[in-house]
Parts: sequence; C-alpha cells; structure tokens
Amino acid sequence: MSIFRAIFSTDHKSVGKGYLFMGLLFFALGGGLAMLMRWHLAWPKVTDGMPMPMVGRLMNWPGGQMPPDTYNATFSLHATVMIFFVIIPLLVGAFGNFLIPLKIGATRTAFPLLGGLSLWLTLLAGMVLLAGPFLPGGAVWAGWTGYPPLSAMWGAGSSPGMSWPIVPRAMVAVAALALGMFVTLNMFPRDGWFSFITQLAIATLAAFGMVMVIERIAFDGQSAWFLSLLLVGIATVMGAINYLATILKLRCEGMTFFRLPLSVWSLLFAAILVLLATPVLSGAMVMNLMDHHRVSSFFLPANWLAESRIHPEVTGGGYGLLHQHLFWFYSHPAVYVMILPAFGMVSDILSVFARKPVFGYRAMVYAMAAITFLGFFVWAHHMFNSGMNPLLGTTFAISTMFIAVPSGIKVFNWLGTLWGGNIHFTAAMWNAIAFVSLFVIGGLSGIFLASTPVNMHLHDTYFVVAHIHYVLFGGSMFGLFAAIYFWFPKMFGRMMNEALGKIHFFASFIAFNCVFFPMHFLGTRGVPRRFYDISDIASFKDLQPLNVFITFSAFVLGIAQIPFVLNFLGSLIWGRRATANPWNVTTLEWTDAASPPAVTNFENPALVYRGPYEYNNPLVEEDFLPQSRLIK
Amino acid sequence: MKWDVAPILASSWWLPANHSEHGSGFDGLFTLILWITVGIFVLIHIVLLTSLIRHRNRPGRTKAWFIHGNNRLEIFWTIIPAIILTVVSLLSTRVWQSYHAMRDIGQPDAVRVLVIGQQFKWNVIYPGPDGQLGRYLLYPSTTDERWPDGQRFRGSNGPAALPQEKREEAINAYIEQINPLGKDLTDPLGTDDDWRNALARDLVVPVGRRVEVYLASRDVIHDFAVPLMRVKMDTIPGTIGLLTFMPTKISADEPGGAYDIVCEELCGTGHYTMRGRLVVVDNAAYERAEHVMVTP
Repeated sequence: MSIFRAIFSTDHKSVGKGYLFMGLLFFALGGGLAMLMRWHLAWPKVTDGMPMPMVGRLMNWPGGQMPPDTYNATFSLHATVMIFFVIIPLLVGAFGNFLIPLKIGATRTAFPLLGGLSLWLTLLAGMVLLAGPFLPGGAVWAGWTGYPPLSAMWGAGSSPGMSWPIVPRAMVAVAALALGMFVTLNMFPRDGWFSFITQLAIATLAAFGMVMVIERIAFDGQSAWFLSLLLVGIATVMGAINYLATILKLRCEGMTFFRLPLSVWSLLFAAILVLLATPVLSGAMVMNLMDHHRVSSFFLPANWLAESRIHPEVTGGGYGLLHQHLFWFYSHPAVYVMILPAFGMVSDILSVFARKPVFGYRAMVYAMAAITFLGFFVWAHHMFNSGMNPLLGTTFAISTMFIAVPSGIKVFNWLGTLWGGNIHFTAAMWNAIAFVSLFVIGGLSGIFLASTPVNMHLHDTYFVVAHIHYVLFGGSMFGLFAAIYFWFPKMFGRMMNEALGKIHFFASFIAFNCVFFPMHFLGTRGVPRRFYDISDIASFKDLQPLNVFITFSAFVLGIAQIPFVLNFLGSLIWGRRATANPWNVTTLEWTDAASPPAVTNFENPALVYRGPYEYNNPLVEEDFLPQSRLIK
Repeated sequence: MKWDVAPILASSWWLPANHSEHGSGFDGLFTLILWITVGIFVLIHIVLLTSLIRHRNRPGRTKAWFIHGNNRLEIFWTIIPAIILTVVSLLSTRVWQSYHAMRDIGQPDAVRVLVIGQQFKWNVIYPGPDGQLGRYLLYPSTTDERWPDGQRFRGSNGPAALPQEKREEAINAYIEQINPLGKDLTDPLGTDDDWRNALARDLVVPVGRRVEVYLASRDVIHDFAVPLMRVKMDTIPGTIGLLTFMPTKISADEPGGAYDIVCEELCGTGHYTMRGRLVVVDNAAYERAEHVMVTP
C-alpha cells in the first residue's frame, strides 16, 4: 500500500514528475499522429503506391490510404494533445509543481491536495479525449478550434443516450478510478488492509458514477472533445490557484519579489493568465455541449441545415462568431501560457551556462508583465477574416504589433546575457540557444500575420502552421528539452548523458527547420491548412514535391527523438549519480537541497540574501554566489 | 520511390500572381515586412553567433563580465522596435482602410453576386437585370400553414396540414426538390434573380469593375478565398458578409480558364474538395452573358 501512497502522493515533487511522465507519453502520441499526417500528405493518393506502412493495414483502410475523416480527426487530435496534454502540462504542470516551492524556499505548495487533483483530473480529461475515436459517432472532426456549427453536428449514427463500447469505457474507468483513489487515499489517510479496501471501494463507486456521467454527456468524438477540454480547463485552474498562492504566500525569509528567479516570475504570470482566461473557455465548452445536446442554441442560427436537413429542435438565434470570440479570448492568452514559462526557464539556463547574470532582470519581469496584460487584448487577430467587422481588425492589429515590443525586449536581453559570458555548451544550453533563435523566427513571422492586409492572404494557410510550430515547437518544446536536460539531475538524482543529448539536439534542430521553414513558402503560395490533398488543385500542384521533402524531414525529426527517449529512460537507471549542485547554480533548489530533494525539500529553513543570478561576482573566488550564502 | 530535388526547386516559392486592384498594396506591405523582418533576423543572429564564438568557454577564459544590465540599452531596444512597429501598423492601417473604402455600397457600376456555401459546394446567385438580390436561406418550419411557393406539395398546402410525424421529412424533401436555397419567393427584389442552377456553377464577373460578393452559408462556416485576388472571408451561417475586389485581368489565360476559389476554413470531411471557379471576362462578354439577362 505504500506504493499507492507514493503514486497518489500530494508532494509537489511527485506531482511534478507525474506530470512529466504523462506529458512525455502524450508527446509520443501527438508526434505519432503528426507522422501519420505527414505520410498521408506526401502520398495522398492510392495511385502514388505508398500506402501507410503498418497502420494502413491495421486500420483496414482501403488501399492503405488514410480516409479524409480520419485525416481531420488526426490533425484535430494532434493539436489538442500537443497543446492541452503536452505543452501546458509539461511547462506549467511538471515544472511549475516541481520548481516553484524549491526555488522560493518552501517545503510544499500552498494547496498540495489541489496540485495532485489537477494531475489526476488532467489524466481523466486525456482519457476522455482518447475515448472519442472509439465511440459510435467517430473521432473529433472540427479541428482544435472546434468552430460551431460544424462541431455542433453529430457523428454519423450517434445520438445522446447511446451506450459506449467496452474499450473507451475501460479507458475512462481506469483514469476515473485513479482520480478516486487519489481523493480517498488523501482524504482518509489511514493505513492497514481494512481501510485500504474501504478506500478502494469508495473510489470504485465514485469511478463508476463518473463513467456514467461522462457517458451521458459525451456520445460522439466531438462531445468527448468538448468535455475533455472542460475537464482539463478545470484542472489547469486548480494548478494555477496553487502556484499563485504558493508564490504569494510561501516565499522563504529574504525572498523578495525581485529576488525571484525569472522562471518563478514566468510561472506566476502564466498562472494569472490561466486563472483569468480558462473560465471563459470552460464557459464556451459548456455552451457547446448544450448546443451539441440540442438543449440550447448559443451558436446555431435559425434556418440552420445540417447535412441538408432542418432541425426543428434548434430554436436558432445563435451566432457562430460568439464561440470564436470566447475560444480565442482563452486560446490567445493560452499561447502565452505555453511560452512564458519557457521564457523564464530559458533565461535561467542561459544565465547559468553563460556564467553571467541575466541582463536586465527587471526589464525581463516588466516585459513579461506587459505580455500578460497585452495578451488579453489581441485575441481577435485570429478572426480578421472571420466575418467580424473588418475595421475592428485594425484595433487588434495594433495591439498585436505592440505585443512584439516586450517580446523583442526579452530577445535583446537574452543576447545581452550571452554577450561577454563564459559560455559552456551543454545539451541544455544548446536547446536554450536554439529556443532564442527559433522564437525569433516565430515572432517575426507573427508580424506578417498581425498586419491585416497581409493576413488576408496568409490566414488559414500553411504560413500559420509554420508560425505556430516555430513558436510552440521551436519555442516551447526546445525550451522544455532544455529544462529537462537541466533539471533532470535534481528530479531524479542522476545525470543525463551529454553526448546523446547533443546528438538529439543537433538532429532535432536541423530536421525541425527542414520541416517547418518550407511551410512558410507553401503558405505564401496560398496552400490552405487542414487540407487532405493539394495535388489536384491547379494552383498548388507544383508544390507537391516540397510536401514530400517536408515529410522526409518530419520522419528524420521523429527518429531524432529516439536518442532522447533512450537517454531519458537509460539515465533514470544507469545515469551517473548527481551531486546536489552539478551545474554550479546560485538558486535555492540547487544550493540547499539534495538531488533528489528530501520530503521536506531543505534540511534547514531556507534563507535568502541576494538576487538569483550572481555569477562571476567579484566578491567571491568561485564564479557563482548562491542566493543563500552569507558573506561576512 | 524516386527522390529528386529539381521539381522542388522548380516550384515557385513566392507570392502567386496578383490580378486584383487592391492586391498590389497588400503585396507591397508583405515585401516591406519581409525586408524588415529579414533585417532584424540577420542582425540578431550576427550578434548571437558572434557571442557564441567569441565568448565561448575555452582554455584561458575563466571569467565572464559581471553586469546586471544597462538602462540606456533597454530604452534603446524598446523604442527602436516600437518605432518600426508603429510605422508598420500605420502602413497596414492605411492599406486596410483604402481597401475597405471600396466597400461604400451603391456605386452604380458595381457587380453584385450572392455566394452561398454548403457542404461541399458553392452556390452562385446573380441578381438579374435589377442588380438587387432577394432574400435567401429562409426554410419552412413545421408550423407553417403554406409552402413558400404557394403550391401544394405532397398533397398539402403547408407543413402544418401534414401529420406531426411527417412534417420534418416533408420539409426536407421540399428543400431538396423545390427550394434548396430557401429563397423567399415573395420578395419583390428577388423576382428576377438567377438562382435556379446556382449549385457549383462558375462565378462569372467582369474585368475592371468592382465586384461585391455577398457571402452566406447554409450549414457550417466556410471560407471564400481566391489567392490570386488576395481576398478571403468566412461565411457565417445566419449572417451575410461582404467581400469586394476589382479584377484587373481576364482569366482566359489561366489553366482551366478560371481562378481557383478555395475553401480555407475547415468545413467537414469533403473540405478539400470544396472548390469553385472564378471566371473573369471582359465587360462586353459579361453583358452578353445569360445570367445578366435572365428572367425567372
């Protein structure tokens, strides 16, 4: 039973590691979905003679070729998995939980139960999402943006009240049981066989109830998708409340706000964004679910036909653009939720391996504050051509242009941090440098999209696909790789292999650019995203060879992750034992805590005397001066 | 599997040709932003690479500089990008406003056309000689006493006269057979509209005249995009959008004799098959064309 106590622990370090493993598993899934898409896009026709290997036969596709509805489901799931179950859980969930208390000198988070609950609820949300493809109505089809009325239609042959097949039911039941076990074990923390059986019984009962409710709400892939986003939204808000309270209330003595490491600042701002924006998404998802069940018509107009049939039960009067406003009011701030923590962690890592204080620490904090604030005023730049008043676009174009100013400040300060440093090229450092370079490309392509006239040509083309992948893969994912290489010793007490790390980095960096840079050209030509096949269209036909090149590169990028997997799993077992501070870092998690940290995090209550980036301070002989060291 | 670099390099990677009046301004802005961003990219990467090479850890280099920042530099790299972005914003706004100045409705020589999206085809409706469009997308409801065309359908004067369980099916059949676009047959403006063969036909417009495309949808959101005209707008069910442009070149030279209309908003399984043809003809040919003369 102690094994259950360990798995369902409320300790912030366990929760963080739980998020890490879950996020990496989902990353493998999302990457696999991307491979399926890329294979199809390179050889979209049966006559190409390149049927999908293995998967085509397994799924019994005609000619081994992915059908269009499966393609739509694949990109919808790829985006949803990557955004809601990889990047946000890894950045905010894994590193937020693990790092915040350690970096601010706290022994725990403010609400440990809430932290654990958010992890297990995220797992349940993920299972609800993955149950979708197994439901009678088929997988989600409306993209990760889920625009109604397309998303308000029903999957073929499904209707509310249908019972689920055994596979999705079992998937959701397992996650629900885990959530139940977490709650019962921590609410009635008693040991012994008898109480364990009681706890298990209560959890089973609760799981049974949850599965029944979920089955009733979600009857096809699309409604499962809505429900999944509702649940994952609740989970991230739980996490955000926990981080905010922890940072505001549990800082150790001497840890003033302007002595907080930038990673903690960035997680603070990300938590504010989550707290203020996510309820809007949750509201939109509830409205969509109600529309889906035909008990309301928030987004459905009168005289609406679906599949050429009238729907007398839809009262009408709804407006599809309302969903877009609500969705982007969440989803644009969500982009900053996905990039701010990476900003913060990369700032930490650049400073450590340049052996130099972060350049313009306060400017970095103010820039993040400005991004957080402005982040709430740019959402409609996703909607310039949506049919909203085009002149309203001007407002959002200008606010979007100006959010580039604080982003620019951050980039220039990173350059300032590197300049004059004593740069050590570790795997973590390479990834952090790549983050800066790739984020610059993603940021600059954003200026094209912010300009309303240019956007009219580029909107919903591959240019947007290139842009978001430069920001979210080139930015967030490379930032995450840097963070994993950097904090792995603290998390697991062992070092990762540097050589494998560098192989992984260089292969990924080159392949990444070969995959996503050409997409700018596809977009410039006007090739639409979410398109099953361009090879029949006269205007785009000649670009098909470029698609094949992108696919080759995508598979190289996929294969380039193998060294990372080997390194990660191998280092867990065979990695060199880490000392408490292998990188000579100044911040609290390295100086006052063992690797991996004890239950209480610190042996003695932490005490802080100075800012977080005192590298090469002339007061001391070594090239770093920890925050907690007292100098007479 | 053959692998050849030549066809990749042979394909054009630049903006497609522009055949609209406003498009040159859009493309100019694109090029301007491209030069600015390329400049910034190169500058940043020169500094980055120099720093990585010059300030790398190597034998003899043990110390880094100990500085926490420089307020003058901060002000410098806040203000310079702000100025550049202000200029880009102002230029964007100017181009955008001058494009939308075209929207002033009621110009006498403008050509109007209603485009209704449905899964996965475009309907093209011409206004007829009066140049005015009628009302569309109004479908019978189960409580209506009369069918919209005033005729008997399935042996009844209206859906309400049918037994409860047959009404919905009868309306669906009526929509499919008689009035797929929900035309309001009582609207006097629409009596001369050319709407009967609207499904999946060419959108024919004259060169050198302003085209007002009114956009609507029967079922889900579609997107009416013509890359070579630099226009793009979603069709929202329940509302009517307006998109304007002025073609500057007839489409006879294009492959297939038409510009591609592409749906650029995910609209379902057949999204990728939803294409239309924009045929631009000279004015004389347009005046002769059947759809301008047609009477119901």
